[in-house]
Amino acid sequence: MDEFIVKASALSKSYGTILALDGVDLSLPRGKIIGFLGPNGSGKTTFVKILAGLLTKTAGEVIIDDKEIGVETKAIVSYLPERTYLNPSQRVSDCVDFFSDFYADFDAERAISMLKDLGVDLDAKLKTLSKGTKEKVQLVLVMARRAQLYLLDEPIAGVDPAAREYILDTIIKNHAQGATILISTHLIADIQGVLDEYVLIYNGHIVEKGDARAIESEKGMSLDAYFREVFRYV
Amino acid sequence: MFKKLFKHDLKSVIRFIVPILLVLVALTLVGAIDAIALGRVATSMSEDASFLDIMLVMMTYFLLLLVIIAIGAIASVVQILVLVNYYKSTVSDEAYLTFTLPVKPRDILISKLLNSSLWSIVMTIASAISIGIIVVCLGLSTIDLSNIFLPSEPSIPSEPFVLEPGMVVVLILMLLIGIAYFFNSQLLYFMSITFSSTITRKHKVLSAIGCVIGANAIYGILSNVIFTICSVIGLGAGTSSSNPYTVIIVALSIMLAILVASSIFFFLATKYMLEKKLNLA
Repeated sequence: MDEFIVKASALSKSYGTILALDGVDLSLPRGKIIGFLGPNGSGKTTFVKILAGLLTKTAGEVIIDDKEIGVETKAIVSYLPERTYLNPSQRVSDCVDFFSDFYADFDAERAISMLKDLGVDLDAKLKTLSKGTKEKVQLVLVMARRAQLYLLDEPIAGVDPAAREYILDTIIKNHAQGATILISTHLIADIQGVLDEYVLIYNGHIVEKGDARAIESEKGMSLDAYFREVFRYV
Repeated sequence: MFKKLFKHDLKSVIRFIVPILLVLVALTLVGAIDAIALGRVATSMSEDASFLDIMLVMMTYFLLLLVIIAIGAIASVVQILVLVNYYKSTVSDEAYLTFTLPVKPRDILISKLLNSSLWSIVMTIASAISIGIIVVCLGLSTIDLSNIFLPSEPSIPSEPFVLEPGMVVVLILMLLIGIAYFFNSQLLYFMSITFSSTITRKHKVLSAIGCVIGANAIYGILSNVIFTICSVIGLGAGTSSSNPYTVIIVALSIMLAILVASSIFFFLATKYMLEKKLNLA
């Protein structure tokens, strides 16, 4: 088995004349929690969406588990977008059934148990739930999969501190053993404690990549402080 | 996986189809009662009817007209809802879930096509049956039932009806055209909506509506031009035939060929866009 779950080389993506990713070379190791960090508009979401199969690349190569992006990679990638993608007219239990039907690695019992712990009524329609609860339902569904790669796009943006704690706790406790978690965010302070590695991206280029646990000793500051230092004039 | 896709698509469409079917049943009941009332009042009205009687007839007549228009509109409402459903699951936020499922875009497209075509056909047939019931009620209410069991005057013997082979071919072609039309129109709409999502990241709804209208207009013009050209060539070749149905069969065959060919094109174009040009930005 290859040491890296994701390998991207010279990966580019443009929207018309706007170049969102410019020749990105990046490999993500297996079994790590990686912070994909950069200011707004730096290309984080574009990279994550290409991995999830929601965007087609303009140029370059990208493979997940040695496979081109497609049906096979979607079966091993669990993706949490920065928006609510569940049908609001469905009941929570319908969403659980939906995930059970399509994802062979989905653990429905675990999902139901987590939803009950959250106090979510399984018969409630999603449109009757608060925005925060909907986001938690979505997170539970995504993390209840035994995936090889979790792509979490801004999982803690726009939620209160208590919810942030719950989300991070859920991510850490529930991901499959040996899986890689890529957390795309610009809110470093909240997640720096859980990261193994970090990747800094700006203007569609990978600026830096390193060990998140060693940054304190190497740079003499926290990852959050280092992020601010690097992107001070951006 | 396809069965699962179809099952979930069916569930999401049934959600709004059931209330619409109930509305259709209610409209049929209102229409039938109104038709019976109109028939009875109209047949029993004498030449010196009062203004009130005339107003009553007018009101029942307009109510019946409104009911028939509403029944006719129901098939269009279902079509719009089916398209909104397609838009939501392939272009809006819900598309993030649709396209991260481990299924081929081709299967997603076929599942949605079968669902939408199936419901369009069902609703069109249901609307036709509903109008049929109203017409029968109107007809029955104008017949003097007391005369039914009286011996009727001897009628002139007519020739027995014979279904000629040419007529059978025409009927089969018309049935095939009817079925092909449903699939063709769904595919044209799907292609337009999918195309709109690949060309714009903003104003997605407006773009989708514009693309549907534009594609419809272009396809309407193109198919008419092709049909005319093919008909002239085809009929020119068929005029020597002694079969009186030849002209109709040639025209219907051309129409069917255009529908099938364009449907294949719409399907392949939509599949290509979903596979190679997906841009859920």
